[in-house]
Amino acid sequence: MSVVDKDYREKCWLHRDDYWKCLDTNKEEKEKCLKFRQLFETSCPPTWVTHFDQKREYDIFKRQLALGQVETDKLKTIKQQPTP
Amino acid sequence: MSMIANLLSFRTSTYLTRNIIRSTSLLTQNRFLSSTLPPSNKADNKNSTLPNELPLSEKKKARFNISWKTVSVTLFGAASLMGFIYYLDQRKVKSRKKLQRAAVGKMAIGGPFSLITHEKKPITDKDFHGQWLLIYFGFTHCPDICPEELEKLAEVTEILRKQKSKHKHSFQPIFVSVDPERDTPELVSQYIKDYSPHFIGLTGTRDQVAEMCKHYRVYFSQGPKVGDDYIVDHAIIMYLINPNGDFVDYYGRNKNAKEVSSAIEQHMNAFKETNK
Repeated sequence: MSVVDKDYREKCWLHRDDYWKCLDTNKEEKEKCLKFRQLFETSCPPTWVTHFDQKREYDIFKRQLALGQVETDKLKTIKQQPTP
Repeated sequence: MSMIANLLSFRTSTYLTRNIIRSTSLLTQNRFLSSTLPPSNKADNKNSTLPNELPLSEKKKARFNISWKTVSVTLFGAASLMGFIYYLDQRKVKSRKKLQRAAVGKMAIGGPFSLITHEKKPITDKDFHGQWLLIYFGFTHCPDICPEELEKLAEVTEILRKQKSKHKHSFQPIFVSVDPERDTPELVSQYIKDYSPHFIGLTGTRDQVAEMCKHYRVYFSQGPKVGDDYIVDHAIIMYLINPNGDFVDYYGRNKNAKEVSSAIEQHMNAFKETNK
């Protein structure tokens, strides 16, 4: 397998960012960003695509957690406990 | 602290010498007076002229001799006392520095390694002695973190190379592959050229890489395969090694290039101070 050079890497990142921007504007509706998705998938190795998908999911979760929009099981149990 | 201590000791010694001189001169005066001039002869003294001449010259002589002796003795005493205090102080500082160094040296990070450079030359840790090393562990198929960190490493290298003349020991950035199955010397060579011409890339057999990672406490694990491709999960840390080959410091993702380079510079200056 050939080396992943700078040009290839930057092209992949560019298409990833385009796809993510599309998801941002369309409120995560993947059907509306299929064109960008295809470009993203063809310009990055498949392992990178899964890695970036997981990263985005995780980043969204982190942001929501910081804003208090999600409640994990642990948070729920903390809230249920009466404050001393 | 030592300055204040020296100053204090100097003050007390001068105070002591002054008092000693005063008291000794007083003593000699009294002795002289009591021996040559009995108190009962007070009335005679006024009238007689002869006895007065001799005592005066002798008095001067006596005072002169004794005060010089005491001055030299006290000065010598004070000097030796100060010297002793200074010696004790220096010993304390030295032992403290030694202790500090020992505390750092105790950290069980780093150790021997034997790998292959991107130019296919076999190399060991001993070949790098006399240089400051900043080591980053990664792999060439890394999606996002390694490139970011290697850009940082390149930036740190640029900053430190500008101040090259200040330090005796040169600075060497190193990339170590944690994916020896795929990262051949040729691949590593092509990869590091993207970042900086000063990088040295290291790879080797799986055992060689695993051995080094064990010494440096670097975790790495091959992820699930998609076809032939996979991602290696690994610790994202840069390690700073001093010219003696000892681990000094580490830098994570939270530090930018400026912070890392200024921290390294501080270590370089401290090293210069202790290894004069």
